Amino acid sequence: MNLSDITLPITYDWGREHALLFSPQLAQRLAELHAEYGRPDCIAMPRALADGRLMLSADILTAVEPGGWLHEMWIHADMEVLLPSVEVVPIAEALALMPQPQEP
Amino acid sequence: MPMNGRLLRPRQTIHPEAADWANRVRTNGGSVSGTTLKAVDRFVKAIHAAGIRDRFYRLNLFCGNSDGNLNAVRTPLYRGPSLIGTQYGNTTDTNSNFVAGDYVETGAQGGLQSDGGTKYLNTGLNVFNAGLAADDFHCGSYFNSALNNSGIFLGTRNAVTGATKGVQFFPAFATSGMFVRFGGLVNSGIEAGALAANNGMLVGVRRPTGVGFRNGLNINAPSNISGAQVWLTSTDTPDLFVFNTNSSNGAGVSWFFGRAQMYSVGKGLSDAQALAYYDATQAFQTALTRGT
Repeated sequence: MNLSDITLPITYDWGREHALLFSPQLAQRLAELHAEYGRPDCIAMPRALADGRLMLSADILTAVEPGGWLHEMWIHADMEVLLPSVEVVPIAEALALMPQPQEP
Repeated sequence: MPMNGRLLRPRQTIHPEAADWANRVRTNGGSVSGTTLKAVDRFVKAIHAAGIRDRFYRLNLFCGNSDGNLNAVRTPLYRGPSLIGTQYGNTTDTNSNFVAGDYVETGAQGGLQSDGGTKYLNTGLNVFNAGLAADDFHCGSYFNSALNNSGIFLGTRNAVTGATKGVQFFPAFATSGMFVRFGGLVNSGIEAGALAANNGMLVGVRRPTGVGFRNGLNINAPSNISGAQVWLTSTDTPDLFVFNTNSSNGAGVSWFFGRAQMYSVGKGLSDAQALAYYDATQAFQTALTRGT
């Protein structure tokens, strides 16, 4: 499933159960969009997974709605490129690819 | 005509620090209810009455109305040891990945909820540059539900790998208790201080020995400062993260899982000061119906 299969708006609870996975190249493009249209005090900061992809919790899609901190950036993104390039998976699948947290 | 009795009553005034916070929230685009402002005002007055205001270099009570940009909850109450004087760090906590649904102001679900994997705040506070010393330091927070297998709530360190210096506050790490590591990253405070429960107000202190508090009471954990190292440059303490650990100005390394109702950073606390801090905090959290 990719982002083009998702109907917005999503619910927060659905978002907490899913993750968005994408390439470093797309992350770079999103960072450029953020620099142009985003807020300096609210940043989408993807986390690197063990397989080299990057992830965000899908609940971040709630912030693309009007009034949300990602809205301006979202409306300026090229949806034809963005939507099919972002894989949507259950959060457990992404957690399995996360480096384990450090222990004392 | 008799004088109206109300004219003789002293007018209730909001403490300048509470008023300043509410003004900053509004300037940032947020809003605050009268109930919350009253609770913040009482907290501020209690902290001043206890004579411990100068202990706090940054404190955020995670309150104010929810909105799409999380404007209120990211506005710290304190940004320096006094309202007048140098203020440290970002004017608001910079948000990485929190969304409006992660924050509820009141009730049992009140507080800011992380996911243990992607969400954190950047305070912009470099503790070395602010003049804080590793052996006169505290970090604290309030957790109204039990922490389970959580990571570092608040931290900074001097490298991604091979780090030797920084701040690492594990309020309740897994089943092994509280870890307070201010200065070095091991043996610089408390290692595995036993907790009666993994919730409530948890505070780690160095004064210079390591001390831990739960709900204002000393947990009597053995101090271990055999490996303590001091902070020598600002690169030893990149800007402090909450719900994560900063390793080099932007690279988080250890995400925290749990819901928190506040955080504070500053100088060390005596037992009496820690108890006064707890009393003020507990009254505040109770007022917002999100206390333990």
